[in-house]
Amino acid sequence: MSMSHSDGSGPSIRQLMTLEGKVAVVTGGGGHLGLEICKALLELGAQVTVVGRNPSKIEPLRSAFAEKVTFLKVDLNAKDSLPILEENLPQRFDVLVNNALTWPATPQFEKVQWDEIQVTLSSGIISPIMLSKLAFVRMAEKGGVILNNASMYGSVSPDFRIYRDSGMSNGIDYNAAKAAIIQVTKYLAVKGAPLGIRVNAFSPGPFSPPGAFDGKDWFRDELLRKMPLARIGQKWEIKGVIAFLATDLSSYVTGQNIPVDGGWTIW
Amino acid sequence: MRGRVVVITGGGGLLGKQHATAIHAFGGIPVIADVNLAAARRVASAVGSRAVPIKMDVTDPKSIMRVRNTVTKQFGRVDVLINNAAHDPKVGDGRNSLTEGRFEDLDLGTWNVDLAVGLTGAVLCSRYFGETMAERRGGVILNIASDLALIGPNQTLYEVPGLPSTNQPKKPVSYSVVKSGLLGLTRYLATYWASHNVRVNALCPGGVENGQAAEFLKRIIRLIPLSRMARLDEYQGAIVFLCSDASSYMTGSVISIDGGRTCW
Repeated sequence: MSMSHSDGSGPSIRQLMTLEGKVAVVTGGGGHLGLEICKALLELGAQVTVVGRNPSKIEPLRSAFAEKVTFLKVDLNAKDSLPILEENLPQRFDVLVNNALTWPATPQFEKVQWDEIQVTLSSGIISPIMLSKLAFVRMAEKGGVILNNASMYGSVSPDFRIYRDSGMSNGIDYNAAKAAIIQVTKYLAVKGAPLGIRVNAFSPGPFSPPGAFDGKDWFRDELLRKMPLARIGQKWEIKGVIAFLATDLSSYVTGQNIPVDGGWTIW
Repeated sequence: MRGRVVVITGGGGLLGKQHATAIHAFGGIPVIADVNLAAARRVASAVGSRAVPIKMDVTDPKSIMRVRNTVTKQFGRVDVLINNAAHDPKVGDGRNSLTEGRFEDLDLGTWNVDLAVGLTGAVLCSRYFGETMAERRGGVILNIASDLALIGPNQTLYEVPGLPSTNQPKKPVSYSVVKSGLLGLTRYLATYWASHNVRVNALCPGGVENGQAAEFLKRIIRLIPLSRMARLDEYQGAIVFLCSDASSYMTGSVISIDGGRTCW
């Protein structure tokens, strides 16, 4: 976009912070953070297509945003999702959020299975790469924005001691996928630069849904001790980074990974 | 390292002695430079026959030039500079007051001295010793930074039960700023003198176990995957690696040796 104004002053923040007239695609848009990501885009004026397996999960969006939101039922882990995506995604879209990830079936490294790793990496890496490939074609004319949901665990390892026997630790395939998506972000940022396509990642910290710690208060306490802000992220706290990265507020930002982790990774 | 002349600033200190021991063990000539000549002498005699103690104030260009002249006269050159000198007072010791580390109680005099020794001192030593290395088209500068150049201090380590929050001791800001600044110096000089074959790298050590209180140890090892602080001699391998031709293709690099503290 052109930022030059004849009088030398740039656009105002309000002028920059809009997605009016834009079309966005969000994978896994019905999840705990996915819904908030969709809300941020919708509230900024975008038309949103949610890609996922379970249409009932976006009911909260339908009631508030009606025809601004559509659902495309696809299993992103499967290779045969590709022709469905090609045929049914908007011919031109401006924003892609690679948010979906199938949680590893086995958190314990000692028990992890080949097929399970493949599922995690299909959803966490292969699918985002293929969707980005499609997005490059559909954004090529006017440019666009690709956002990748990474994780603090794409940058640091879990402290396994704090998980004890909670069963809430994440598998090695999760960390592998998240680290990979950070590199994919850089690669695509360079590839997309001449096309006007910006590519960035955001790395949430603990955004555990309500009830996640039922009967496991000790685990919650362990988590909080790892964070300077000493609290679990509220789901809506992901909206700011989406608004920033998806709009022209960040028009000179590409290839970056922005932590939204309560300070987890800074000490 | 055989025959290499290695100037170690703060050489009379806890880690300076370890650096000198490593250099000496591999045949180098450690020049133990310290503002405290008695400490430099003690280290030199403990390290071995080739170790040379010398008085140097890293905050005083004249003192640095004097040492440079003395060393080049005696050995013909300086091969390696280890910028190791820095103030790192134990939190809670309070050179002037108990709450000295607190940002709200920042003492400008202390800040200025800490910056002068840890950061300006490294800049000045690099300027005078690095210059001769660049002229000779070869040399190594190694900056001793810290894990606190990469992460913020976890101030809960220093909490004293029962004290009001306004009196809790804190790791001072000067340490983080000095150590982070050394990384900037490392990258700047690495490109600045790359064409003159002067390599510049940084080492980020974690804390060394050295008689800290049991409660502090209990707290800090929880932050470290290896569940312990470093042993005093555990940086010797890195010193030899980074000061010798074993690292001949490395410049501008930052190496963490922290028991894994920054990897989770």
